[in-house]
Amino acid sequence: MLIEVLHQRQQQHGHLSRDTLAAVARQLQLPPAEVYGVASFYHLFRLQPPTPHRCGICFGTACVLRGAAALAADQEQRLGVRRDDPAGDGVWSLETISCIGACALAPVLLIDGVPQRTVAP
Amino acid sequence: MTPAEPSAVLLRLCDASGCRAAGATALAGALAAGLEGLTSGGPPPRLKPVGCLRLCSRGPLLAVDRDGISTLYGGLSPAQMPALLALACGRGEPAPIRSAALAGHVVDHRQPFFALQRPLVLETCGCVDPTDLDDALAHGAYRQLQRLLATATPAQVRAEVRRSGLRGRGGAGYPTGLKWETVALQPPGPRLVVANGDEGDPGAFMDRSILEGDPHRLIEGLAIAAYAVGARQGYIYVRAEYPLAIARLRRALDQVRDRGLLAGTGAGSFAFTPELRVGAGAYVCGEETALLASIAGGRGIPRQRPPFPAQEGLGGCPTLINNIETLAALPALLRMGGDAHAAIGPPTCPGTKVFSISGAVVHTGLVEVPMGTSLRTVVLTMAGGVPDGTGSDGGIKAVQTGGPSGGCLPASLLDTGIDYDVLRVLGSSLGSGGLVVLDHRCAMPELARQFMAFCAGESCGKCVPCRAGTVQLADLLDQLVQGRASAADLERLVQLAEVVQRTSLCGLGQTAPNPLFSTLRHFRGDYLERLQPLAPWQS
Repeated sequence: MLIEVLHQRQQQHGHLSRDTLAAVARQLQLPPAEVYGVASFYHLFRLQPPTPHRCGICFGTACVLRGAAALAADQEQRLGVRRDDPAGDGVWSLETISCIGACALAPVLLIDGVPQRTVAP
Repeated sequence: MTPAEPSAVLLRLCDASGCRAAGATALAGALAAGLEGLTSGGPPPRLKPVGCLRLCSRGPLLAVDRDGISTLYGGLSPAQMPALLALACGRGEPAPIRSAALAGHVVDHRQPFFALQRPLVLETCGCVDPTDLDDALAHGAYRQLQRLLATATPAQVRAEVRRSGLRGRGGAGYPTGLKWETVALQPPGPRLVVANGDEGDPGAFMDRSILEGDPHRLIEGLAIAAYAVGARQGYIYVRAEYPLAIARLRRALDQVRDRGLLAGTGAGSFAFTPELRVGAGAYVCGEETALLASIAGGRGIPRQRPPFPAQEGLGGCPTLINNIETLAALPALLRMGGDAHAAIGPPTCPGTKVFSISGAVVHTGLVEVPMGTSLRTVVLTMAGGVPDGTGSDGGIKAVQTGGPSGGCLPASLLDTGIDYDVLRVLGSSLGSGGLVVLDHRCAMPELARQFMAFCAGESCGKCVPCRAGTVQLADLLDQLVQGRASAADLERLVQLAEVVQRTSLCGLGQTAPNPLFSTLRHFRGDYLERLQPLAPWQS
């Protein structure tokens, strides 16, 4: 149940704050440490608020072979943000993500969660 | 592909994530608007969203079924909408093939990429509307389940699957029938079935395609497995990175529940309740004991085996865990019978396998071929080899199989027939079926470093060899790639990799060194040329 509840809360609030995690622990009568443990274990649970827009770069094998690293460096420069810094510039953040299975179109960008085909610089 | 009835023209639009990323949604909108604006008489063409049409590199793809002939178009955009509609509506003309506006968009259906496929798992993927239960039923969904409930005992179903020789498609290649027997023969009590859809291997997308294209086939397969081992409850675990697959599966499960298809009122009074569980981003959850921990709501941390999940799984109950593709293979397998299935491909590893092809090839996408088909046939004949590649190997340097737990096979081994045992002997593994083709620009140490860094990032942290070892190995590979490693460092790298392989708790750590070992075995030169030259006093 815990993972489903965390998914729901993240969908409602955008991320899982300390208060949210504490509330989940009370609701499910679980030790706060266990709730935090699960929330911090999985990559897709965000413990910090996300920026309004997010640019994801797939780092699956096919995407890496077709220039994902160069694409990430290029986006870092263009957006003026550091890779995998959830704060970004307050509007945009840049994250590397694990394979989304659209390998045939590599390299793949995700703009606000929507996959887009692109070309490496 | 099934042709449409002669009168109505059918536009089958690939609505899987691959084609969506290539612009299928905009095309669907344009086609729908164009169809609405049609004023001419006669039955209007029907637009039908379908699952993967295979050739992802030419996406978005649209198949036009007219007069019993199916034509495939690729690389489409809303700009081609008027020409497509004109073709679809053109009366009295021959079947739609030639049109100046679409000249560059026709995809030859007779090319090896399509002609050499043998679809069983994917037989209705691309034909059936994945959001429509009635369409799935019209294509034969749940027919095998109903037949078996009415005519076969669970033991007979297990015997049939044993006879078929089917082996688990998740990567280990364990005989499916044997696993089923183990679960079924446990002491009396409740049993559970789990479909493992945590397809985390980079480069693999066959499970995603099955879930997005034909979710009812998976549900039917899971229900058959449940009947065969005596389970009344089951879970389908899908990784959260696949939102479209999750949405389609959720809808399919709702449809099945609303219609009472598995409610046990029909023949045999077999009631089964499958539930969806969504992951949250952890590669290690593909390991079966970690998967169970995640379904139970905890951190995805594996545990020591035995006891195997087949003996003691969720809540202590015997639990059958099968991969999505394994389960989706069941309806076709049971329809043709175990013996007919066993006759496909090599006797030790029969059946068909779905491969996802990506990397440096002309045609990327999804193919289903008999097991034992040679790598050359798949990546060169079907996928076309490296673009502008020359020579007998089509410019291919190696084929990466099995993701981070697999390895690389050099071009000299292209004639190898693909199956679990052969690839293992060659130092790689088939894994779940992702084939990433590498050209001569790809440097093996970089690739090994990429996979090692991946494993270091995905290690759950429970056992030391994997937690600390993968980090050290990634560091050493970093040094090597940057030309800061000596021959002694390379030796240390191999020693440490052997320790990690032998002493890690679960498959993630045990197989993490595989890409390193296989590239060292076949491409040692790539490593040696990165080593620091010896100082004069060392030589």
